[in-house]
Amino acid sequence: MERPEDADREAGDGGGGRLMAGEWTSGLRRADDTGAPLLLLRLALGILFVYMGVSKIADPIAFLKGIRLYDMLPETPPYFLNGTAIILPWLEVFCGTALILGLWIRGAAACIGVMLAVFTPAIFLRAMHIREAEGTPFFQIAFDCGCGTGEVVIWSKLLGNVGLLLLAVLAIVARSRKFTLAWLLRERVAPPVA
Amino acid sequence: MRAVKQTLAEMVLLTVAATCVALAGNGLRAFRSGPSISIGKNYFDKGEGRIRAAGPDRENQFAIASQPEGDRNPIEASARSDPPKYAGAAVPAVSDPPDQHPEHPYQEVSFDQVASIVKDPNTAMGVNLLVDARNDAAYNDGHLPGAVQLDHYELGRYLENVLYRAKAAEKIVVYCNGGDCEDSIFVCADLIEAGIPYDSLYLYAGGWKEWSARKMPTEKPGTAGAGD
Repeated sequence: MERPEDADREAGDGGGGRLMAGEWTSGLRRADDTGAPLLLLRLALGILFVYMGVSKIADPIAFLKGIRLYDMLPETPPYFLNGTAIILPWLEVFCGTALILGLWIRGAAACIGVMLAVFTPAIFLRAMHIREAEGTPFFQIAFDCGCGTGEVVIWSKLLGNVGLLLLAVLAIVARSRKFTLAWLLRERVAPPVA
Repeated sequence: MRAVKQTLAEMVLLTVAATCVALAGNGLRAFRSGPSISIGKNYFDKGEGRIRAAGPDRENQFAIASQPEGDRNPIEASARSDPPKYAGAAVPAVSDPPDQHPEHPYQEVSFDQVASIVKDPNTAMGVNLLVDARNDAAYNDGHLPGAVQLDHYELGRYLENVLYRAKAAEKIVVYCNGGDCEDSIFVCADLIEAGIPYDSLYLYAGGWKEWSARKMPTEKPGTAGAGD
């Protein structure tokens, strides 16, 4: 019996037009089952967000001043700006750490996704304001977005954030639970009795 | 559906845990006098409310301060002749155009006036006081000669020392980075709140950016007698 993938190989699959949807998803599932893709996603997102969170915790005043520049939160009462400045960096650290450890993966990735979904349009809007106010062409606009990375060229920051958002979505969708803390404890520290 | 519920629960748990640790950490830092945020404090109050509340005289001052920058300079307005120019200061086009500076209700001084204040022997005797509204890193990297530091975000550390001098001074010039930096405005508001009369406060809008771009003399902590 001819296997579906054989038909694809014979057809010369260069353009990708002959892939069958079912085989594609089962291929992705097989990849996911190895545990490697999700591990890479977790480490990439996790380490990045821990780093960004820690750099904000190190200088809370700079972050407070940074958020204010977005004009998205009211200045009075002060709880909104101050609360965000205090809490958000720690949320980044917690989510990043959870991802690295493989704990609450979907929740952590979803939190990160929400943060990115809020920050990215905010950065874009601020860039548009600058374009209107100063007339700088969009691709030359650069400012300190308050992300913990200093001054950045905005179009590449936006592109990067969209990429990160995609990674977060993939981390949510993936099913493997290998290489997590729980898995380690189960498999290595207390393996099931044969 | 179960996966969605579980994900939402995880998100809530993460947020609650992060909030608890964040508030505890912030409180601990405050307790140990490290950099922290006082959650109920409005750090961005320019002080207009206080100035208005000080009475009808102050309303006039505020009205003067709301005029376009050219009219806002009471020292220059009353002086008949040009203030002495600091020798060696070329006048390159490095100052920001006036409309790039944020709005504020305080009196301003120009670069030339600040230069003559720095040069004035009375300044070292305490008649005039220069206040640097930037943080430690910036201040330690170089500040205007004789300027004392008053970081708006860490008032507790600096206010008492500065107030002691400010109360004795006739003219207090506050500056920060220049451009659209507003920290000098907030420091003026802090000084008014602490009882310094409005009339003795002046903002140097050009700030550190303009002063250093014009290659004016600066000093660092530990290398001069006047600054602390």
